Amino acid sequence: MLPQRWPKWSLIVIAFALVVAVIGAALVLAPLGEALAPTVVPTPTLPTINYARPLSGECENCHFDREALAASAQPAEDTDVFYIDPGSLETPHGSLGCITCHEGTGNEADKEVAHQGLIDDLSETHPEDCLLCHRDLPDQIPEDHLRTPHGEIVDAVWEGSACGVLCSDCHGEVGHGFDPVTGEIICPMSVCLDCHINRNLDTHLTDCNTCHVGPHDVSQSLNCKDCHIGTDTWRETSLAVHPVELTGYHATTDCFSCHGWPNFKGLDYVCSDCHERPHDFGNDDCALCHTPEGWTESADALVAGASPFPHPVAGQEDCRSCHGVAGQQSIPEDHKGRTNDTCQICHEAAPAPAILHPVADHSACLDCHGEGQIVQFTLSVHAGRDEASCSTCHAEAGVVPLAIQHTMDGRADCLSCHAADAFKPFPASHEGWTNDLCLLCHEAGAAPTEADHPFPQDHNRTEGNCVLCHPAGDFEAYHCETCHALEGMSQIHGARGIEQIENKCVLCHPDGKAP
Amino acid sequence: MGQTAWGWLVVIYLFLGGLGAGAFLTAAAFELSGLRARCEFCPTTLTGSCISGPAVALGSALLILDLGAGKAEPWRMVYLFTHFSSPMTWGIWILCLFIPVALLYGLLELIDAEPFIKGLFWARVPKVLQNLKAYRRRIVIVGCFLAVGTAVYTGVLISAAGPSVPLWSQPILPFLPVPMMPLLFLVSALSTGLGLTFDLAATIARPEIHEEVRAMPLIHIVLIGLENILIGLLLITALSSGGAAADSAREIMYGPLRIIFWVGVVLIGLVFPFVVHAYAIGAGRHSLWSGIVAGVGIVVAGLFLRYLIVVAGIPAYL
Repeated sequence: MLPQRWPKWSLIVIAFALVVAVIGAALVLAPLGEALAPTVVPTPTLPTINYARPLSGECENCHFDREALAASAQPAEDTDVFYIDPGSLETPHGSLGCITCHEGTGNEADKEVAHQGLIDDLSETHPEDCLLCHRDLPDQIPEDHLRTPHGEIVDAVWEGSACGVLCSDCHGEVGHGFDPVTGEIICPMSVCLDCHINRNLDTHLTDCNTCHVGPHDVSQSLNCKDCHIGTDTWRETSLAVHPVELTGYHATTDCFSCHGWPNFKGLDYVCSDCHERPHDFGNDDCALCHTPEGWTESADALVAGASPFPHPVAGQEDCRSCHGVAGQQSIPEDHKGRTNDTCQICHEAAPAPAILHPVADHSACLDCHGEGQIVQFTLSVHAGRDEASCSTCHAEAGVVPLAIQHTMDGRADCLSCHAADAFKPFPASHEGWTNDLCLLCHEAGAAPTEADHPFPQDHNRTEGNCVLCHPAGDFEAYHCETCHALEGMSQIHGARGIEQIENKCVLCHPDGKAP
Repeated sequence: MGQTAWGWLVVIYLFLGGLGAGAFLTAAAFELSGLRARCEFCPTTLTGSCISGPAVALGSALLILDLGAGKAEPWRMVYLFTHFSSPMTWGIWILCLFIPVALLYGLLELIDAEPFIKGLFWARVPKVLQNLKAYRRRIVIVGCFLAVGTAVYTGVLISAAGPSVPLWSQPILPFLPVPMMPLLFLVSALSTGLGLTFDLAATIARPEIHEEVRAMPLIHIVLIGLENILIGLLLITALSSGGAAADSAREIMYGPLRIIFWVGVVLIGLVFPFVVHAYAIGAGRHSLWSGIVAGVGIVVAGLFLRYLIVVAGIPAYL
């Protein structure tokens, strides 16, 4: 399309020219467009406000001074009625000066002269003056959730028709300290209600939506009055319709600490919706251990009441494999939902007594320890236990019972030698045990062989009576003096020049015979 | 009554800043995507690169002309560079960096398109500058960031003044406190840049380019649609927020600015180009005149949009 003879850079010139042309056209067309579209609704011309603070000095001299006011007020009790806090000068309306709204002669000291032409309520006599500044008043005040009749009132005033409501009905003290914008002085709802009733406007008083713009969109299920029970503040609420009874701290906390603003969404009645779990163990179902009456106290009570468990933890960390609700040793119903890592928060390990004999060859525990058996377990603790569960709690102590170092022939009454007061007493742990039990753990010894015992066991009428040579059960040493008194043997051997023979008999008499 | 501090000089700056940034980004898109390399002569790249630097420089000059105290006491302008908490300082730095980069890119592109220019002075250019051609792609990438900054800055500038003029500080949505103006100005910058360099310049120079870049009408429709949505949101948000912002929106839609808005922006700049590009998608190509008129309409609307936003800015009621 670009003519062949035109250089390529002419394209840049064309583009620039277009931009310049567009700007030039806009400079012409924009004012033209505005001229062809004049404002349809003319802006009303308002009179300027008659700012008269400098002319209100005498008003302030009297009405800001209780003494001056008391001196001129008739009757005297009206002093409080006409006294004005000087602090009201700090508010937007107060700073306008008295005669701006009330007229009169504010720089005249004489009371009668000063009050001539006084207007008590500007919004009653010249309501349009209020509109000098407040023509565009909001119908709704979102931050206060209020619906107002501002539009109707302002339009009525603007058109010069009476609407029966004055600005001062709601904003009466606006020049004397009340500041409806900053909200420093809150107008309670009871003021509105009184006014409505006095004006016979009470037909709508039962409908909160007459004045209030509720922030919640729950009208399908709730009325305002289901929760809000006071007229002085929104925060006075009832829990009567709450689907779950609230107790403890929950009964006093703000609704939206738990519920989502503004429509109460996003809560499943789970503690973790609001509370952050401060510990790593357990799960988010806090109510398993805690109650709203006291998080710490309720958990402490559980810990204090928890029983110890009688087995070691190592190798058995998965508590619920045995103690699930349907497990071997089932836990109480109220423990349902608790996790393995919470068990030892309450329950301490208190392992059962260890097994003091080898388990090998003695694996049938109940043969000895079962109900009615020779070493019966403690019934109150072990009731219902079966063979398989013994080793869950009881571990082998690693003790190997001493073997009986003699034969049992003729020695069936163990306690005759091994009772606590006998010459070879059993250990204190055997206290109370009877002869029946000894051979359950201790293995009876066989008679030593000739290789083990080169000295003849039938030596001269001993007839295998070991204790004759090994008194006190000491089989590491021998003792010939039971039959061969040392004194006599020493005389006989001394006569032959053999001295120091004590405990040396077998050196010369290995077969118990004369050398 | 709208604000009186900013007038046509600022409007034209906002327009040229956006147009220049958008033109650069369009040229860069052709460059970086390889579209430029496919043809011997790419009018979009040539126009975009050569327009962007001068347009932004001219706009910045107008901005200086608009200065009050700074014009009388120019030494005070140094503060513009050192007041780092001010969005204006950010903008000054962006402009000062973007303009030379864009001019350099334009020069490189012009030399490529018109070799005789190279013969005129290239031999006298220092070696270091001659070597810059090897860094052309990197220059374009850096320029892209600065171009986006320039386009967004025009919106940031106006929204930074927003608290005193509520229309300018409207959020994207009433519940999303992100300023609307930077996004709207960025989209508008892309649209006007594309309109000038592709719809207009490329159609004039090589009408067959529409056959080669078939996705362009669709891209333009997306941009126009997005701009449409943002303008609609701006007006709705302003109306719903009440006060001066709502009055600004009313002035635009059915006040004294309504003809400029409905004709200059909506009809010429949004509806017409939208229809034309939609037709082009259906027909598979643009006609010579549909391309040119759509491009002109988009550029015109870009200027009027900024004019409306500036003059309809009513100061907040105290």
